[in-house]
Amino acid sequence: MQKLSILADAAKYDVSCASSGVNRGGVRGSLGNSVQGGICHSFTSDGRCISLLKVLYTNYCTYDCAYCINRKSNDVPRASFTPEELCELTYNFYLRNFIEGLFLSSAVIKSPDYTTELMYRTVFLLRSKYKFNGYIHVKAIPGTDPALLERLGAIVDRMSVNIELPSEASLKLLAPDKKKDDIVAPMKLIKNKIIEYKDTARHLRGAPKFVPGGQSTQMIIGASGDTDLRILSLTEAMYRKYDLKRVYFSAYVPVNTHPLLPSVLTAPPMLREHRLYQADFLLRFYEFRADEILNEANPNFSRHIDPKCQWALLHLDQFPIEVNRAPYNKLLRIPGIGQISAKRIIQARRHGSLSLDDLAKLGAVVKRARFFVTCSGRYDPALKFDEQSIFTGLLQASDVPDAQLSFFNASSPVLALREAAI
Amino acid sequence: MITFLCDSSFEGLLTAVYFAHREDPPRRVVSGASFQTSIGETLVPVETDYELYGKMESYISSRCGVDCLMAMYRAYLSGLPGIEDAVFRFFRVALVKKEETPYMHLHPDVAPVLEAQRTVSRESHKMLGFIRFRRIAENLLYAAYSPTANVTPLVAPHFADRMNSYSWIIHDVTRDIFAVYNGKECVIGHSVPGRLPPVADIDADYEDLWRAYFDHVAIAERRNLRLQMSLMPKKYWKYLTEKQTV
Repeated sequence: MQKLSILADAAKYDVSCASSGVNRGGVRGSLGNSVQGGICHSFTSDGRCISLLKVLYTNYCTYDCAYCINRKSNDVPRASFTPEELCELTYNFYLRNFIEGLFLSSAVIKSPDYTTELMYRTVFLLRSKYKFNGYIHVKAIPGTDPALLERLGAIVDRMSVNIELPSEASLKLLAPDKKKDDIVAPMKLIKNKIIEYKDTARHLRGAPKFVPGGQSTQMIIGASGDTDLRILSLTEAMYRKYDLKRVYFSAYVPVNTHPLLPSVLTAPPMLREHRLYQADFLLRFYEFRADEILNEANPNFSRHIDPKCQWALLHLDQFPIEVNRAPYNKLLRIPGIGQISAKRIIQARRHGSLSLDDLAKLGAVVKRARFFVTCSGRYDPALKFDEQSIFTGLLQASDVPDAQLSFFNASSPVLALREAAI
Repeated sequence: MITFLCDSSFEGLLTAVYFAHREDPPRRVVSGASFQTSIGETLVPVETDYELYGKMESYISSRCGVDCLMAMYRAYLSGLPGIEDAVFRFFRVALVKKEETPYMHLHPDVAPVLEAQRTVSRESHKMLGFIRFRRIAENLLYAAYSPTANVTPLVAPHFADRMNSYSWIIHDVTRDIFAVYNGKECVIGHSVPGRLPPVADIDADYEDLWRAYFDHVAIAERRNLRLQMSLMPKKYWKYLTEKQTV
């Protein structure tokens, strides 16, 4: 129990817990299957989903990264699992439907190869002796022998390599033992092996799989001085270059005292993390490019309004959009309209023209959408279509409590956006 | 006004829908579970006809599309007051609009069924995660839960696939409905064959370990109980191992 507590504590700052991306039916005699969309089994008191049993194999670490709770110079309780212990725990948790599977990461003990070998032995035992057919996500440790990573990738569902910090400069400062090239190398390897496997699978049914759930990564937000633009551009490049399934952001929780880090009294930048996820969704599902959302003149998100509203306000020439005629990709650009409501709009308008009330019934957030749409050529007569009025209206509908107050200190909307940057 | 009264099964509902459709207006469909009679109403009890149900089922799925049948079935599982009549009115639209029906989000006779279907689908997905088994014998798992809608028929196939080398029972405590899986097939009914062993975990240590894990994986600095509550509503806590105090 002590051990589990220590190694769960040590792993909790890792964000990803998703069990998605793999649809695999059960196998007679084995335990488990996997569902495409993933399943959340519980929610912790911080509101995050528990899907996988997320633990470190060990928190004895050879490295000394400034931001990390497990750095070797920290005086924290240390522990290690054995492969058998982890298998028993995973199997028995899964049997009681506590979890979707295992997320195994580790501090670096002795060397990257030694650590990965221990993780491989655990996963192999779980798959073979325990006949565990559920979801497994492992962390690929930078600097591991490619051949070993390949073996590991053949028996897990997802792999991830943490890029840790949004720029090489901050990596050098805060994680002197980690090198950018070491981080990028396994990402490339995983990407290429996935392509290889998909290609073989096209000709050969039942070809051996390689991380069918794809790879993800995460970076820490607010430990270094990088701008939102920098982070978002990097995110976009990650999706494009390495074909990642997800990029996760982790608001830095100050756990260590260090001259280059925010003080331990600083609250984690949760709003900034939230804005980054909103923008990440715009990249992945809304056909936005990073340089449309932010640019050198506006390198940071607004505190008061979400990235889509921010973009719309700076591109009023593209609005208002007629909801009864606009194609899907134009509907997606309207603040307050998401993928589901956009699809429903298209389906419902086949049977009659839509009003603002109808949009609400279809699931759109009308308190934001109404500033940007016309319904059968009509703009809401209660509103004025100009930058100032829309900005005021959006602030009144804002999800940030002090937005309405602080607006009155700003002279112009665009200026206010910049001043209010987080 | 003629009102057709069916039993609480889906078979009974589709039987009543058939008879109500055959009549000249006005008419209405209710089930024995939830209805109020009003003055001037003629109540016609309908006996469930399984053969007729079979015909209705294949008629709807071939003429109106499986999605229509699915929407009607899932909406029915919601057990919401008045859902039987909503399903009947949906059926009337589906006869005309066919495959297009599930997309008519704003049609007054379609929307209530789609809405109920969404609620049921959402809850059944949540239950895939929130159901908690106890290992009450070496090879036997038991889960008690209390969903708002009658989602047991929707969640059972998932566990039949996942836990196929164990026998298990999923027990909806409010409705007293059991899904019983014997390692080969799953039967849903109102009773359990044989006698149930005591419903305590033979290895309760894992429940303690899970509670410890649950507490330790939370980040104190990010505490957000409102978010937790909205994602995992209190009504489900009673059967969640991690929310039970020992």
